[in-house]
Amino acid sequence: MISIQDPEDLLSIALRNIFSSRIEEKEFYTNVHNWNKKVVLDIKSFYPLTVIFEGDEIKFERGEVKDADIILRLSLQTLLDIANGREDPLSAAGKGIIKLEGLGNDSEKLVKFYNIFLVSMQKAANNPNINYYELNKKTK
Amino acid sequence: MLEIDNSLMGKEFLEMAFDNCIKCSTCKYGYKNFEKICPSGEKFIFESYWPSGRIRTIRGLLLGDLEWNDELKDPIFACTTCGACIDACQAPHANYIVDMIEALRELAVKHIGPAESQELLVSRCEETCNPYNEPNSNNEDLKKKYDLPDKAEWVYYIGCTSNYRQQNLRDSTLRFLKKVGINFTLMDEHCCTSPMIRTGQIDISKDYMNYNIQQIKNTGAKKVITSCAGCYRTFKKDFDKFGVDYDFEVYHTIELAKKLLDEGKIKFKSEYNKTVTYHDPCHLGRHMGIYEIPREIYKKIPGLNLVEMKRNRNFAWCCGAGGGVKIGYPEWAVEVSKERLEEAKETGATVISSTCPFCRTNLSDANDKYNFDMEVLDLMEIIDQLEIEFVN
Amino acid sequence: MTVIKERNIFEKIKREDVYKKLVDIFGSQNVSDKDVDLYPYSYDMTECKPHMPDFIVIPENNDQLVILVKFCNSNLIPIVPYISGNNVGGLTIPEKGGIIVDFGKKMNRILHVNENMMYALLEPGVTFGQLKKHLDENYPNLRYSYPFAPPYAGVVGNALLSGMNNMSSKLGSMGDSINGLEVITSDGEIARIGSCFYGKDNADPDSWWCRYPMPDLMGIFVNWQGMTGLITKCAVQLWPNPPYKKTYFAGVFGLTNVATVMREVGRTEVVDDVSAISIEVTKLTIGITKPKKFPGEPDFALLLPISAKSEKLFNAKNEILLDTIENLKNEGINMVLLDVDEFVKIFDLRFRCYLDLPAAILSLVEYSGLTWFGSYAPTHKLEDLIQKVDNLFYKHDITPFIYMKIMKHSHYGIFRPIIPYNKFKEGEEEKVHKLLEEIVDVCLDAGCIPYKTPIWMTEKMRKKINEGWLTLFDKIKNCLDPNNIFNPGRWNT
Repeated sequence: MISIQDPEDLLSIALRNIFSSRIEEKEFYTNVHNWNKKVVLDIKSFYPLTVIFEGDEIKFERGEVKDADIILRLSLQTLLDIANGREDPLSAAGKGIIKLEGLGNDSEKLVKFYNIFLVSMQKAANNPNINYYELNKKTK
Repeated sequence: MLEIDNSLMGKEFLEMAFDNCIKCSTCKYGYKNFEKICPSGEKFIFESYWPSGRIRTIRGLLLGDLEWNDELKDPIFACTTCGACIDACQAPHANYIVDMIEALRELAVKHIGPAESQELLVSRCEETCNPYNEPNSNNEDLKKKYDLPDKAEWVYYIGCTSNYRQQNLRDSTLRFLKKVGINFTLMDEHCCTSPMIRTGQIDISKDYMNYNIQQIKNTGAKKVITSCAGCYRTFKKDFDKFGVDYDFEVYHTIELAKKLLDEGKIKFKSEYNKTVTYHDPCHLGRHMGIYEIPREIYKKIPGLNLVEMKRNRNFAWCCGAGGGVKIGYPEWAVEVSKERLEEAKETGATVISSTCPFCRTNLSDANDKYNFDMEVLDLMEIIDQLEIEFVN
Repeated sequence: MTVIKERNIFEKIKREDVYKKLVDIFGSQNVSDKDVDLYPYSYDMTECKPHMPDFIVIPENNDQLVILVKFCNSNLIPIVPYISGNNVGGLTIPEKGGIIVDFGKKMNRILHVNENMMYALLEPGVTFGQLKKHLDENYPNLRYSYPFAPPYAGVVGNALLSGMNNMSSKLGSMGDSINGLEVITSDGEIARIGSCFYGKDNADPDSWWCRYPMPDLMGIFVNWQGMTGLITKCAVQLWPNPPYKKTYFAGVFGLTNVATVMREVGRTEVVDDVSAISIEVTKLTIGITKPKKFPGEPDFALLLPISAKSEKLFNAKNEILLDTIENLKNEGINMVLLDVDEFVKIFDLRFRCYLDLPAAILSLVEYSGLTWFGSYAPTHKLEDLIQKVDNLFYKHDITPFIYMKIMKHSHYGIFRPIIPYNKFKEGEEEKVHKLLEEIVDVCLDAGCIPYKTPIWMTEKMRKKINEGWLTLFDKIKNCLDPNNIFNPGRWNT
């Protein structure tokens, strides 16, 4: 099973939340397990965040590491637009409202990145549950 | 620095009463529909009868602000420990509220004794190994009657309430287990001690638990099955709390029934053309998280129309019997059940069904006393009326 | 801390005789003098000094209360009203002992809802959860305004103490939303105040529609913390429940920039509410008990609900709000504006406790104690207040937790530094109180006026208040309650 660090900064908390809902998914496990990559998420107005995939662990580090494998730069609004289906990642890239570095021609990297990040955000955004009481009970 | 008697099993829960609970009163009502959920608070109304009030009682006693006297008994013992507060409370200590109340009772028993009549639970056990003061049965007669071996893969732990007060439930379960071909036996039982644990009278618990564990071992069984929610909870949760060693799995009969249905090994052939509402027993529902299994079984019974009461699942209104209330506050216990039956009537159901003999007892008592004219039946009793096809 | 002069209640009458009389009035099941029953009422979540009451009574109707009041008045026995004890100000701690009247248990009926004139007539014990459920089930076209408070907190108490709720940018103080009151004065007389004053015996349930324009007697009961009489009925305004709703989450960067944003947004008159919380609070909500603010994170989170009867109006309000935000950004304020429903799903669903009111406010239930300086504040002083109070939190090594609101389209504001703490951790209560005292000094100097006032706070305030007000206050109190039976001790009476 994938283990996710318990972070304390806002962006890491959000990513933890997004990933946590998929923690028991086989597909998520397959993509994360031994991916061993460092992904920088640079959200406009906020701060860069490095997400480190190591073995079966997902960790967070504030700041942009020098040896990042992938860098994604976008605004929080664009992130929400993509997560909620209002914006397509490709056309967003075309418009220049997202900047993605480090993928090159590596299709496997692209697929994993897409599955881990974008699919997770879309699933979180489309979760119909708004009953926070039950979530609170589970986490207590 | 607060000093709490180290010999108290519930010491850590008493400590928890301090830096938790802001008395926001969220524990008083169910968050789904702001429904009443606390039988004790609703009946006795003063703050001391609600969960947050009991936490304050712990603080008062341990800080020395409150003195030990008999006036404490009602606020401490007049609570069914149904655990609805656990589900309603959103604070970190929520899951431990019932543990805190049980720890408070353990402490109270040492100072002032239990509520009136609750001491009979122990004294009767000391004589007959069950709280009903019935001559202890080693269940050999039943073994003969149902032609059961001495050793088997499963052992059916009947429990005192089923064995001495709800024999139809017991017999329905025995017939079911025979019908479905489970390799099981019976054992000489001591009370699981759930009533004692709930009322803070825990001195005999470990011995009784170890006795039962030995008896189970003697049967060679690695799986224990029970039709009592209280026994189930005690085996699955309290054994660990008391630190007793055991090497078997524990199931409620409905878990077995569901498994057999899901695997296609049994099918209900005949119909049960009645409208039934399911009462979630606290010890199976809130305490053990089992809500859907019984419902899925009811839905597989041809002709059965399952309807839900307004307060169901984790916010089900308690039947009123648990936590030592049936013996300590018998009239109030039945009043609590009366409210439950009123709710059942509102659904249009003619049958109220549960999966706990203690709920069955109290609901039946209220049904009779207040002339509700409903059928009160355990799920096993309903299944007993059905034709079952056993698929190899 | 103020030293309370102990009042010997049982000088005039023996305790046993008081008990007998109370049982006679309320019935034995509604009266208690047992320590175990009294104890939970003796203290609240704040660090205010506990004091045991002598009795608890649970009233069911006015007739019982009239007899009680007359009895207490002639025997000089204090009466303290209680609903759920959730006020953060020690207001239900019986400073001088006496009788706590717990309205929350039985005098908690929603008596009447008038759909046309949009008000609900309530007994004092009605809670937010109860009112919301009643409206959702029976009057879905009407809504009330809810505070950041649990469902079990009292509606009438909140209104009488000028609470601030989730429509306060539009409505202002909840005290302004009271249409009518029924009170029992110290001589046992029942007075109806507001448009319901017609009718010698009883008021028509449909007559509680307005506070004005007769000479306004309501002011001698609103914000008086139960010192002038016992409130037995309260009519509160309700509002239309429009179909078009959206709440924005705004993250504002720069410690004091939030004040500008709040004022400007409030002035647009398009939002129902402008609530700001320190960013640390969003983390407290999800269980991080000692949250920190990291560089690059916004300093404050704002919640901006808008609502409208029609799509056209909604779009217009939306446009105005977005334009205002854009202008603020162009003026150099760094902020992000997001749909809160979308934000919450990405961030953490538990943040909804600030949206789905009334709710268990998750950031507060992590602790056993809570205290605050809840005040009405001049909005032009907010920057100064934020900076100074933030510094004080850091000085005392306590996580900053500031909550602010804009009231009535920026006419005034709410400034509320909040301190959740562990009541029983050695030294913590003293540490927290020290911080609170310093916060109080800073805020009083800036002209803030606390609305839930422990007596040590009113003692400080009295040093600043003009003599004319103090004299008038004393005159009114002495006139209405010459024997000081109603919640004595409050405001140092």
